[in-house]
Amino acid sequence: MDNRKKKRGKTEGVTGIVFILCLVVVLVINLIVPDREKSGKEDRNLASFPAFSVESLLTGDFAEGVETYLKDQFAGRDLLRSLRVSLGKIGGNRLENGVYLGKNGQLLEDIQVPDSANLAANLEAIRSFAQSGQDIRVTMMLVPDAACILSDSLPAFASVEDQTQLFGMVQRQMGDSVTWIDTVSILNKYKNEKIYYKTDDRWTTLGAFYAFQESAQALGITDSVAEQFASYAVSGSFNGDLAAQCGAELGDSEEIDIYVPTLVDDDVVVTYVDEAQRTTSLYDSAALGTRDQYDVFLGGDRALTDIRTVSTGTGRLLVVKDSFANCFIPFLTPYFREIVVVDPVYYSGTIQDIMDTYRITDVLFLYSGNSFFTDNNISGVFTGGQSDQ
Amino acid sequence: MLFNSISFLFLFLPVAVIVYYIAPDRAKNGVMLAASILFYAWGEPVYVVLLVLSVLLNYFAGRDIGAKLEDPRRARLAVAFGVAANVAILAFFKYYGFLISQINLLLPEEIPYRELSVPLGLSIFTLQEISYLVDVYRGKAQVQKNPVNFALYAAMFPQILAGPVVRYSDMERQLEKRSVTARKAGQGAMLFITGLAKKAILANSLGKVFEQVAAMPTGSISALTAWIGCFSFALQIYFEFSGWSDMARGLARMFGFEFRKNFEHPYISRSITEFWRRWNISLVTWFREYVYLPMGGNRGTVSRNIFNMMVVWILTGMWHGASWNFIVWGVYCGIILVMEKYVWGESLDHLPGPVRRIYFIVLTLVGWVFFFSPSLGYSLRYLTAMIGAGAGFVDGEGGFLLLTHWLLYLAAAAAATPLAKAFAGQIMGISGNLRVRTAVTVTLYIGIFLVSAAFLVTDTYNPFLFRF
Repeated sequence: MDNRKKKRGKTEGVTGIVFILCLVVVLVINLIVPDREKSGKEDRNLASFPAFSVESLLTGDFAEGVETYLKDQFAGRDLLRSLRVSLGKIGGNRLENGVYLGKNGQLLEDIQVPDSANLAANLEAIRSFAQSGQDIRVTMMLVPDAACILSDSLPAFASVEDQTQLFGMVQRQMGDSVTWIDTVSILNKYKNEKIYYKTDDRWTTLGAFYAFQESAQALGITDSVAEQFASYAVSGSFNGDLAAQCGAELGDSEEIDIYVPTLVDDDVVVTYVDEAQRTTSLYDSAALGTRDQYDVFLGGDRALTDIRTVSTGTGRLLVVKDSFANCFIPFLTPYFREIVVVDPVYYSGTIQDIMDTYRITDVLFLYSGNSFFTDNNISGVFTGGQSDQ
Repeated sequence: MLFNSISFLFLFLPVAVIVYYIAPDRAKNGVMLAASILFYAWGEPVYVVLLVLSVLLNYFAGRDIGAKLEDPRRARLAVAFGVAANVAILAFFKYYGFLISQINLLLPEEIPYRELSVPLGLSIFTLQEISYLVDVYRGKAQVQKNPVNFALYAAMFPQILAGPVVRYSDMERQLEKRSVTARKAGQGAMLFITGLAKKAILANSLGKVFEQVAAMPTGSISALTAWIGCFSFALQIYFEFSGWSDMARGLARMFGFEFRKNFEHPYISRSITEFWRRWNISLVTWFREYVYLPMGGNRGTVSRNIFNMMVVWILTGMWHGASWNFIVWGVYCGIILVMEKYVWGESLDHLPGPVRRIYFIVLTLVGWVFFFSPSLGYSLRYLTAMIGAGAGFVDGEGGFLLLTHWLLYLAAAAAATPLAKAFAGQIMGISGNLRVRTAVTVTLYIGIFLVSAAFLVTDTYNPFLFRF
């Protein structure tokens, strides 16, 4: 063996030993590092070690469970994820786990296409409810997602479904059974302001405020609403769900604002019915200490929330909604004496129960496009049918 | 258990390697066999029984053939019986459901049947065992009397899931005697890391692009997007296969075994004939040795030779899976090979290099369309999309895919040609100083391993394509 070959042999030998050492060290570290229940960076629960049974061993479920467990509890998982996402970004990647990495750090959720049967059932349920002859004002507010309004921020060449067109189809099908609020036009007017979070899929309170301002009349609010609210920042360190979902922009921190009425009293009694909790604030400041800071609005998504106000208005409003509504509802408290909020994802009763119990006079459907088109619980709350979540 | 799983990398492998290195020489085969059975059972807890039965069957069939070698007629009968038994097992588990479903299409009545999932590695270990029986019959190998050694040959974990198909005559001596050195372990580790990176970083990322295109209705795929999809699949399947082969060879070398090279940069070929000398060499060789040549090969008339070639390529296609797309692909490959041999092969040689490359690339990509299409109709629609009849020539989707994966395609192109290896060689040869060299090499490989691990741990898309 000549000298060069010998040298190369030495290099190879060292590489082999280091490789095997690496495997052993990682194995030991994984054994030592304690398991985590939740991943903050990914905003989800992590798998725990699977329960063993002969059956699960024979079907291979056990092996699969172990693999998921090892992946989820892998030491340094968050770091490895950042490494992969950063490398992908360097390589040009702009679509990670359903999230577009847009210009200037703007994250945008991909526009979801509705499942036609599911959508038809939802629309039919809403229409027959609105036409059921009761003297109730039904308003529908579908909020476009950021990828629809901020299309300039989408990465180059990215093409998403035309959500405006989807909304137009829904509007046509609903006909004049509901009062339709054209949030697309409203938000388009303000697209240069910060009406969406950069790291979260939801609109900012500012976006909700503009939508409120321009839809107040349609909601039966006759007073002028201009100059009635003052905004305060309650957090400067918000990092949203989209960042967690795609693993990019996890270092970005954003502001969360709340809007408070300036001219009238805003005393409320908020009851979370299922949890049997009562509070006197629309805001849950404890949420600001968690990763889900958006939960500051109405304590996050709850099945059924009852808000009593000191408003001189006589209306009793039911809001059927997703989490976009959470920052919108505080604008309504000066104008309705009672607001009942229901989230069909969590609520197991029917709308009719609520209509009777609370003697509702007005109904508002408030959803973002993506959750409206993917939610398969909506028709269930009308028919009382089993939701298939 | 798969090489690209965390359970394998950070649980099975370190334990298996250390126990194996510590074990005394005479116990090494036993240790590796135990590890192999465990490895297989982890992924296939029920069919491991089939593996054991298949091994026992062939062990005794081999001894039977060996005992009858003096009498050619009886030996012939014995080998025929052994091969037939193996083919029957393969046919039952792999092709039975497909066959009945096709018969059901013709009959007015439905024959009820249960679609069996193909046992992992069945097509690998069956082919290997057949090679053993035939090699013993032909006198190319001795009967293996030691059941541990034989079982280790058939079920060795580095190659049991996806090959390469190792021939018994290549393994015979290594089973008796081989050495494990730090140098070999290092070479093995480097080869394994290379293969893992091909799978975890390149193949998985390319697969994602391909699946995105495949999910679109063919009528809305532009020519650009269709070609991107097809290129992505071609590169994905190459990195899946060759990555798996590299991992297998690397692991085998870490345990002292030497496999032949299975891929030799197939995409730099200039004809389909050349491609099949560079692609999955062990499989092609197996079909040549144990099907084509016994049928007469190219002896006899031209029409007989064409017949032999077509049979071999239909079988090769079917080996990849029990469905029509693989048969169509096999026929397609067979026809082109016949054409290159008898019709235009010679004129092809006179064409300028770039033209031959384009000829090769187009024919190969069209072949992959047949390979990945769920039906013949889909493949024809996809092919029309490739010539712009789907949704025009260029669209935003294609631009987006290119722009957001430029580095991936660059890396894939380098890794599919000898460029990447040359580049890595340049980096490692940066200094004449041994210590620097070693440090650079270790950093390079461990770095690649770390990135691969990052992909495997945190990306949910990690398919296993080789259920054959």
